Amino acid sequence: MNGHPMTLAQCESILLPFLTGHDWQLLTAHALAIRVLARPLPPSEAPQADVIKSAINLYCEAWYTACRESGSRRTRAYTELAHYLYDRALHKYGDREVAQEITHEAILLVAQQLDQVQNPGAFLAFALLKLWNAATAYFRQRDRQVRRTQPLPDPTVEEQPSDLVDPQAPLPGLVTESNELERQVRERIDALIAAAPRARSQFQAVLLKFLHGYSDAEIAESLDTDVANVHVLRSCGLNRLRTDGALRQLFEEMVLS
Amino acid sequence: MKNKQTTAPLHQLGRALRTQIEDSLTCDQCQAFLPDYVQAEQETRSGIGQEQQWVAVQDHLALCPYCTAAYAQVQEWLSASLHDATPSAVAYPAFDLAFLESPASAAPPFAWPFALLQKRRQQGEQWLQDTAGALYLLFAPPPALAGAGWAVKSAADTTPLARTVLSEDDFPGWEIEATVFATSADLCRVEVSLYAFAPLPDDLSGIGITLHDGITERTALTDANGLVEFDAVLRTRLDNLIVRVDLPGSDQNGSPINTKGAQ
Repeated sequence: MNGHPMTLAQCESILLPFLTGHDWQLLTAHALAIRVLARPLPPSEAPQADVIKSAINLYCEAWYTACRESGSRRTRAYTELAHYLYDRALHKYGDREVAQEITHEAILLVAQQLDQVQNPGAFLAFALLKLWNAATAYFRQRDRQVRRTQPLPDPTVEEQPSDLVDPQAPLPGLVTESNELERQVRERIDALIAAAPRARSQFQAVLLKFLHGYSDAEIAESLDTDVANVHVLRSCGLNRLRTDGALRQLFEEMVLS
Repeated sequence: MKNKQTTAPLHQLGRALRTQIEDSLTCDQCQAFLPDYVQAEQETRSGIGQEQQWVAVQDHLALCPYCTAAYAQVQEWLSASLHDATPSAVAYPAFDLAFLESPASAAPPFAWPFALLQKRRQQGEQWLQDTAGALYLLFAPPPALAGAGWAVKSAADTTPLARTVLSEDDFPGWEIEATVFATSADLCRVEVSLYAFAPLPDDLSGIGITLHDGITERTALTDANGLVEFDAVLRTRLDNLIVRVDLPGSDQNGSPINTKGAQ
C-alpha cells in the first residue's frame, strides 16, 4: 500500500457512500478502495477529499473501458454517464426538457468521439466537454430559430439563407457585452470594412471569433469556407487591424481603464 | 497559470492585436487537448505552468473566447464534482440508448504519424513511407532548392520557397515533386506533381494528396497530369507542412510506419 496511512476499511467507508450516492456500480467500493490505495498519495490535510479525487480518476478509467465494451456493462456505463451529465445540465440550465435533450446529445457525442479520449483518467472532463458542446449547439440553434420566427416574413424579400451569419449582411449585433467600448470597436471595424470591402471576410472572421464567440468550424460555416481558410482570413484580418491607429488607441484606453 | 476564466472576449481581441503569437491550434484541436489539460490542472495543486506540452493550448485559450468558455465551464463542473456540490435528480428521464446497438463508428481514414515525422524532419530526412504504401513528404529548407526541375509541369511564375523531390531511384516507378511557391507576403501555394514510369499510364487523375499544415488538413485529387495545387497556405506554417500521397494500391488504414524514409 505504499505506506499509505489509510486502511482498506477506512478507504472503503469513504467510498461506499460516495458510490451509492451517485449510483455508480461499475466498481464496488472494495475494488475501488484497493485501486485507490495502490496509488501513492502525498500527505494531505484533507485525506478524504484526496481519496475521492483519486477514486473519481480511477472510476473514470473503468467508465471509459466499460463504454468501449459490449453488452450490459456498456449500457450501464452510458446510463450512469447520462445521469451524471443530466444532473449537471439540470443544475446549470434549470429546465428538465432542456437538460434531457442536451444530455442525450452529449452521450451521442461521447459515443461518436470515444476514440479521441487520450487519457482515460480524464474521461469525465471529456464527457463534460461534450455536454458543453451539446449545450452550446442547442442554445445557438434555439437562438437562430427565435431570430427566424420573431419577425413576420416580408413576402417581397427572398427567403434568407440559413447560415449562422450572412457575410453580406450588416454586421450583427454583439451578443457578448454591450458596453461603450464594444460599440466603438464595432463602429471602427465597420468603417474599416467600408474602406476595404474586399477584406470584409477577414474582418468578419475576427469579429465572429472575438465578439460573437464562434468556434472555427462555426465561422467556416458562416463564411461558407473551410476551417483552414478561416485561420488564413483571421490572421490577415488581425494583421490589418494591428495597423489601425484608431483601433489600437481604443484598446490602449481599455487597458488603462 | 494564465487567468483565462475571467478573460472577456473584448480583452482577448485586444490581446490578439497586441501580440504576435501565432495561435497554432484550431478549436477542434484545442478541444481534443482540453480534457487532459483540465484534468492535469485538477491534479496539480499549484496549477499548470509553462510546460511545453500545454503552451499551444494556453496560447489558443488566451485568444479564443469559444474555447475559453468551454474550458471555464468544464473546469467548474469538474471542480463541483470533486466537491460533490451538484445535487442529484430525484428521478431521471429514460434516455434512449438505442444507438449502442448500432455497430461501432468507423475508424478515421488514417492517423498522421506526427511524432515520427517530426523526428524524421529533425534528422534532415524528406520523406518516408508507411507499411500501407502511403508516402509522406517533408520540405527541406531553402538551400535544397538547387536545380529547377520543379518548373517542368508548373506554369508558376512565383518564387519557390521549398521543394522535395523523390526520383525513381528513391521510389521505384515514380517521380514525385512537391514545391512551395510564395504568392504574397503572407501566403504560399503548394504544388505536388506525380510522374509514373513503367507501365506508363495515360491518366494520373484521382490520386489522393493531403496537405497538413500543422493545424488543419486539406485533401485533393490529382488531375490527369498528376498535378495538385493547394492555395492560400500561410507562409508561417511552412516549417510544419506535410504532404501525404496515397498512391494507387495503398491501404488507407496502414500503420505503423515502415522507417524507409531517406534523404
